[in-house]
Amino acid sequence: MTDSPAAPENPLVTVIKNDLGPMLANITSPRRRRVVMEATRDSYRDAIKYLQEKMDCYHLSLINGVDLKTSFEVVYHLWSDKNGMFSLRVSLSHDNPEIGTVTDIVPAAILYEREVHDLFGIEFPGHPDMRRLLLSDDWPLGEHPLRKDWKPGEKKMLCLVKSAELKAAKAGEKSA
Amino acid sequence: MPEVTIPIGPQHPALKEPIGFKVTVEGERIKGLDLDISYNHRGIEKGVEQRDFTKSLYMIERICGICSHAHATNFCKGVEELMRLELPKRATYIRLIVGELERIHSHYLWLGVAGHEIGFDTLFMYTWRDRELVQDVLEIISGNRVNYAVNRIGGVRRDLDEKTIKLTLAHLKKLAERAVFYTNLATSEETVIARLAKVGMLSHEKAKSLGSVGPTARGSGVNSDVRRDDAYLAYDEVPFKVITADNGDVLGRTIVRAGELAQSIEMTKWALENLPPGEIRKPAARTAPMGEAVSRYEAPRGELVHFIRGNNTDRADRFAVRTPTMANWPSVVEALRDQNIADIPIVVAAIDPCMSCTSRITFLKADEDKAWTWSWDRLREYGIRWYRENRGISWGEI
Repeated sequence: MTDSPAAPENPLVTVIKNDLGPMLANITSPRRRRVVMEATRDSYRDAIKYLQEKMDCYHLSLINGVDLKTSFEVVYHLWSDKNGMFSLRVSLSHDNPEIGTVTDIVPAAILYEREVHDLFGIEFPGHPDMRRLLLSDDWPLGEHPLRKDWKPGEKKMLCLVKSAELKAAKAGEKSA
Repeated sequence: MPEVTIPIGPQHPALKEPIGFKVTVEGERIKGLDLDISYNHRGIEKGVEQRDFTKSLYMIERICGICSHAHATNFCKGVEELMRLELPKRATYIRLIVGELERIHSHYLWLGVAGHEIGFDTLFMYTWRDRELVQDVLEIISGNRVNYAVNRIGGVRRDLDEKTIKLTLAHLKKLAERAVFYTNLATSEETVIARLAKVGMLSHEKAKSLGSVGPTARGSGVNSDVRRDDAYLAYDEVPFKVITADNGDVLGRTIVRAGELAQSIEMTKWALENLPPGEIRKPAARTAPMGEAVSRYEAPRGELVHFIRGNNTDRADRFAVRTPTMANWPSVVEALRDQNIADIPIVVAAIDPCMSCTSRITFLKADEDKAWTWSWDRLREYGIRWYRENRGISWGEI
């Protein structure tokens, strides 16, 4: 099977280390056609631009959030036909998770950032259209179901949200 | 002329799934489109975090009714990668065979739906009749027409015997003849070309920057296919061509799918004839070690991505799904710009948004407290007989 872990020495790891060394940490290749790396909130945009220009990553496969209980992670998965998949993770504080949008450099991010915002409550300042995507209109505000401390049934559910409350919340969401 | 915004959906006659459009039009021309896809969120990612891998697999298989095998295989593949588990060759081939049969049925289904959306219902009837051949094969192999449940962590649950292989090959022969017919239809039938050419244009550059995947991207000349570029299962051994078209319109997406039909039929045939002997599964651990896997799969609709994070337990710490339809929505918005309002159904259908189907029938007589089930063969016989006696239609040998 081709998915098996093989060739731990991916030459791309060395290339990226040479080019972006101080900006990134933990650059590894867990298997063939996969490179994983860590960036910070200051360096992730430059790293994405580098991957687009130097590594030929034309396709954004996915942006996903991870709740690590003490912090959040946003992972950008960029694909290049030639070089494989590059996963770039950025760690965010749990109290105030916020990371600037990448929709200006990767237009395909437009829905993925909205999804992460819905399900994890991570803010993406600069996103042109940050409305709800997956959660229904009457889902209570501030409830982010993929956070580890969110349990179904624990919080007040949809039917209990009064319409007045919802309207007020919506007005707030629009002005924000 | 002033711009007007009209809501279409979430329930509407054009599409079978709930999706809301807010279309801004100037006369008949579409100036802007806003999508609301919030009607179907089922919390599966959260559900998977709370179940062990075996139970998760059943849930993941039900993400989609049409590409159920795609989701299940992709998940197994990711978990096996975390577990560092090497699969027996025969298992990878069986997964591939079911996966390609699934693509054949999905593309036939799409051709029918596309025909229906453009008012070409004869095409719909033809393709859905032919699709029954694949459905029969899938039922013989797995016992089910949808949700085949062929996968388990570490291999597959069902083996292929000589009889099944022979029967599948016979069906594939008929399907191959029909695929030639549909390829000719997509490239030379005048009504199809007149209706689909230059409709829903998506340029090569836009298809790349908006992240389109699968036949939508390949219809705009993006030469990308996970099966070739990130080979998994036995795709590096089975010969096949990646079909692309430079049209960039709905016709291009139709040509790609018709071409892929022929390719998938050939691939299945090759895999069946070269099926390696041996085991079909390996014992797998219950737990997966710490680590992350990004698993990719070329589903009938395009690149499917699963992100799986293991944490030394028997369940995933995080499981994220990116379905191909999600990746293709931005390109729909782009493709509908400046199009005619009547093009909405076919342009939306051109990315092949998912639909579900099932075929078992259970009879219930509540007042007599009786319930019984008919097998697929019995139901089919009944259907054929009913149409012959009541409508004078003979389906004949297909």
